[in-house]
Amino acid sequence: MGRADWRRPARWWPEIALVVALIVLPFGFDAWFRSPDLLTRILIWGIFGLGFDLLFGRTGLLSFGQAAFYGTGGFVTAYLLTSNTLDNVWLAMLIGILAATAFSVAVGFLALRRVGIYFAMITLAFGELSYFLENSPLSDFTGGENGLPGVPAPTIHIGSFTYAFTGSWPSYQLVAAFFFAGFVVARFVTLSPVGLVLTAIQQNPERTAALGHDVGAYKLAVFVFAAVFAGCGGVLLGIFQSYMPPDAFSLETSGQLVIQTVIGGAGTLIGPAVGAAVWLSLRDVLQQVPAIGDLWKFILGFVFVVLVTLLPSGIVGTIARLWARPRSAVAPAATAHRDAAARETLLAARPAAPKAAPSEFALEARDVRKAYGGIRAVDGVSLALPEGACHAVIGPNGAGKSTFLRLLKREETVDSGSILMHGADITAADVTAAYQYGLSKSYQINQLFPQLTVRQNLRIGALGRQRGRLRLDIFRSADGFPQVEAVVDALIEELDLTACADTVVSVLAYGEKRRLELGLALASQPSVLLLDEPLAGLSPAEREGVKDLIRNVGKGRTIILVEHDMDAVFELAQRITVLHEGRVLAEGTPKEISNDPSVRQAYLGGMAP
Amino acid sequence: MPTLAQFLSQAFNGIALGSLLALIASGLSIILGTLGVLNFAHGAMFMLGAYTAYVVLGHWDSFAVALALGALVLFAVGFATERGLIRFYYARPKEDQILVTFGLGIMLVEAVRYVFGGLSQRVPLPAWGQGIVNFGYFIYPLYRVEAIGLVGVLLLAFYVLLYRTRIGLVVRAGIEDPLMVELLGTHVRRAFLIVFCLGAMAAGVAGVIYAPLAAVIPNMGEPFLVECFVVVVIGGLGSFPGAVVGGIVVGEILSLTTLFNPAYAQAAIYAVMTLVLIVRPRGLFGTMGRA
Amino acid sequence: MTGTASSTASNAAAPAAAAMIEADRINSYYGDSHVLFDVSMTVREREVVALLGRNGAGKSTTLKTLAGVLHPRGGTIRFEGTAIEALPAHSIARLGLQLVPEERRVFGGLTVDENLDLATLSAPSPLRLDEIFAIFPRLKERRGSYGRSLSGGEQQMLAIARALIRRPRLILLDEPFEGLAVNIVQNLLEVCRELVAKGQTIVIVEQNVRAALSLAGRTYVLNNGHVVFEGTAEALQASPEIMNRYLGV
Repeated sequence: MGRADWRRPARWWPEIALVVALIVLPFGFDAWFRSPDLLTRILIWGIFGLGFDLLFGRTGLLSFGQAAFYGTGGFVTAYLLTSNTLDNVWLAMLIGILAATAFSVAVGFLALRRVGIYFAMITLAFGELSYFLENSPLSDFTGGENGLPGVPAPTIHIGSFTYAFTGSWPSYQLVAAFFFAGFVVARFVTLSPVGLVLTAIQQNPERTAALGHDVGAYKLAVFVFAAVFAGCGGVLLGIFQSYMPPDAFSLETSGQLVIQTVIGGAGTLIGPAVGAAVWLSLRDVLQQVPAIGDLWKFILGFVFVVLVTLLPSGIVGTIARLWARPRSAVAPAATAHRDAAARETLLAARPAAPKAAPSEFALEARDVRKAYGGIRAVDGVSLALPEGACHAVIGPNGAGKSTFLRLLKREETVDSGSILMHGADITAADVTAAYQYGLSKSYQINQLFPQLTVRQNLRIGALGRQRGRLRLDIFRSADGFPQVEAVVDALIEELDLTACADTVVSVLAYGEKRRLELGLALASQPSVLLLDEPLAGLSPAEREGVKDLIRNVGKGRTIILVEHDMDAVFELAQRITVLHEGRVLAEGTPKEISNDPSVRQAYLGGMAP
Repeated sequence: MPTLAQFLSQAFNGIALGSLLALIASGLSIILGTLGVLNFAHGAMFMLGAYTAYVVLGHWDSFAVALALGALVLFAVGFATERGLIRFYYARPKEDQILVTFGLGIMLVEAVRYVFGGLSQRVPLPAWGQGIVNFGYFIYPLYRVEAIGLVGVLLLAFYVLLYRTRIGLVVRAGIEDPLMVELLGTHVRRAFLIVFCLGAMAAGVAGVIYAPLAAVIPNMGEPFLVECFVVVVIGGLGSFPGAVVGGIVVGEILSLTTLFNPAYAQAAIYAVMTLVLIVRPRGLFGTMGRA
Repeated sequence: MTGTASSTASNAAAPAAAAMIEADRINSYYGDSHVLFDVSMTVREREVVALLGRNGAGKSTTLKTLAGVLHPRGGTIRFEGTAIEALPAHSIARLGLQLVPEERRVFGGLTVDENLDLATLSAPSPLRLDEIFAIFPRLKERRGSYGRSLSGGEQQMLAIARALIRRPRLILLDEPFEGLAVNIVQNLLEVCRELVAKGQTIVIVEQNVRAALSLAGRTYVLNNGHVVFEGTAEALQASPEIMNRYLGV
């Protein structure tokens, strides 16, 4: 079982520490502040922040509109209860959270079409839209700028035992219970394959998609997930205060969430709660200091700017970094050793094309065309590769080789023509589906996940094939698939990366990164492998190593090789296709090609001076 | 059913508001197009302009001084911000740039709140702005007509700056291909500073003009910031014509929907923004994929 | 595999002229991908030097390193005596080393006039517009057109005109003939020959070997980031094995 598997006791230390903290802290707050209320508020922000941390800290999606879901959850619940539509508080809470979830599906569907700046702007706009809706058109339901007072607290009935969560301490217990549950779930997510995919999306979304994960679906999933937590926070706010305030929807609320997360540390799960503690207690403390008084928010803003500039990991993040051993000194975990034959079996090709029809060709391109504007980059290229072939595609600059390769890997749509894999038509498939069918590509410029280890990089590739496009298996450990781990181990050995298996990629030497790049393409055990200039940037010695690697992994696989190193092409390829200006100029064995006068013409320049 | 007078009056309001948005959004757009930074402090800069007007017009009766000083103050703020903060962020991810300008915006708002208090201030209409204009079909406040004229002149100046001067040439080329500009011997980074100052000034001067029209409070810039984002999405990132056209469009949508149902004016612009994002994500005039 | 064949470099143009560029053992990287290995080359005043090789060989990378787009990690570059390997691109351009990058990179949103105007901003004594239009009459016809509406050939003319208007000491042409029709290539070759006759120093990178050799006096051949041949154009053409090995298939 994986290291983070729920059956392993060691994995539960953070949760245990949290329980202890949640039991002990309120007494401290009670002694200092005369009630645990401040801690309750902190934890409500903490719940709000758990979801946001997964969205922003882990996946890198900076949303300025989370208040939309915080407010929706809170107001739907508050309305249902204060208008006497529902008596059961628990049911009203559930409906409130579901309402926030439903709203987030709609917003996410629109907002996630864009990334970065656009995404921030769109989420901010939707947050403001919700604020406006609460204030005006829906004010009959929401109380407009007055909010909704009189929100009741839930009660537990077990037999004759009744417990109402009204009052300071019971409110705290309710909120703390929710925070704990939320933390447990959020932590499961971070330790699961889902968490690994989300991190991969933050670091290199295009490669993540090319490795078989449905990036759009995962993003929507985490966006909705964050909204569930937000809705939960809003619901609890209304109950805790017995009043639902309109500014739950405001930009200030969304902004405060962002600031608290950054101060506490994005990506740490408890960062938002720590940030809230800092913000709220500093606010209370600073306001008492006569010299500061109303400047408290200015000071906090200043602290925020300083932190973003100098300590981007936030408080908890920085502590975590200092605690962890320096990256380069990490000794690799034991990589199970297997002999070459066993590795070969493990890494053997596993094709899975749709409705595999019997065909003598592993990969076929039929009259494929692609134009950009008026330029015909690929102008009717046809190719047919039998199983196990190693076929090179060469041609002068601008011949269309890279475009052709991108079309094959389904990174772009063809204008016309078709692409078949093992006889099945995959022309309409997207890049993620292509990977699932066993078609994989290694890139000219390394497309790796720089902040993850070699092992984690390979795992992302292997998990794609194992789990399919989308699987929300949050209760599984990321390394809990024995088959996946076996493949990863075999790859590490095959790629000669055993010494740096648990080293973070960003500190690796270029040659090691290049081998890893090849490894990522192999992780799905592809039956068809596209290699885009695999020798680019390598020293002569390293070239030999990679050529050997290609020969090894080529057994039982079909390979298309684009390369400029002609010696390597002649050594590795059985047949060569020469492209020129988007069309096939010649095709044949290396000997035939080197003797072909039209090819020589194309390379040396067809124009008379 | 609104009368013709009401309709025309609101249409004019749309131009007044829209041209103001166009000016603010132009500033935001050139900063975004050239530096790639989404300036979350832009609304606060607008607010600073309004407060400058408040301070100046409380002591001198010269609108010209208010405009000049507003431009100067925001030039200084822009200069300090770019040199002291933004230039360390060009290599950092976009999210970090957003965060730091967001924090800066808070600092500016809170500093103003501390100095002037949170109550709304009134800026008096200048003497030449009081009274009404009779357009025959409807009557309209004089200052708003003058404001439209003033903003129009400023937008024209902006246009001249961008399209008829050397610095404008560098900015427009720099938005497209900064490396090529470097290869032609011009130090692009130095131009960044001027662009940021110009963008800040645009927002600040808009604030000065807007000040007599509404309550001046510390967070008055917030709704304008959000509306600016809508303008930029509709008009296209990094595009000056996009900011102008987008601004007028948003201004008119806001004003005219108010005629029929004030409650839905805001919702209307977000609906249009959503439509643009689905149908034509790069906006009306956007060409660069900076998003 | 990396043998270096060189013959006595003889300049057909003039007696031993001053060295304009002296690049000594430069090593360039894209990120941490090592693409140039100890590349050395010399360009003398009034020379036309061709950099040849298949793509991926490092020709463009060499030009970019000379122009300051890339900074070498190791090695030195002297331009008319000044060490430039650590200077930013805009400073190098001001010293008189002008790169015309591949893909032309004409400003699509600016007119032809504006493109040229931009090029003159930091030039101390630029050519006049009428002088430029004398070289490229086609551009005069298209003065008011936006860069994006020009044809490929017109864009290439504009790209070269932008460089010429600055009166550069040295022009680096990166794949100027790529993707252009035969007659346009002929046209541009004519322009280049006129420039050469007027004494312009040129370094040209081209995959179209015949066109490049018709202009060049001396050549360097690159393979996998190493210089594998240095000599006159005639010497290269007299060695079909080298041409086939490193330039053909």
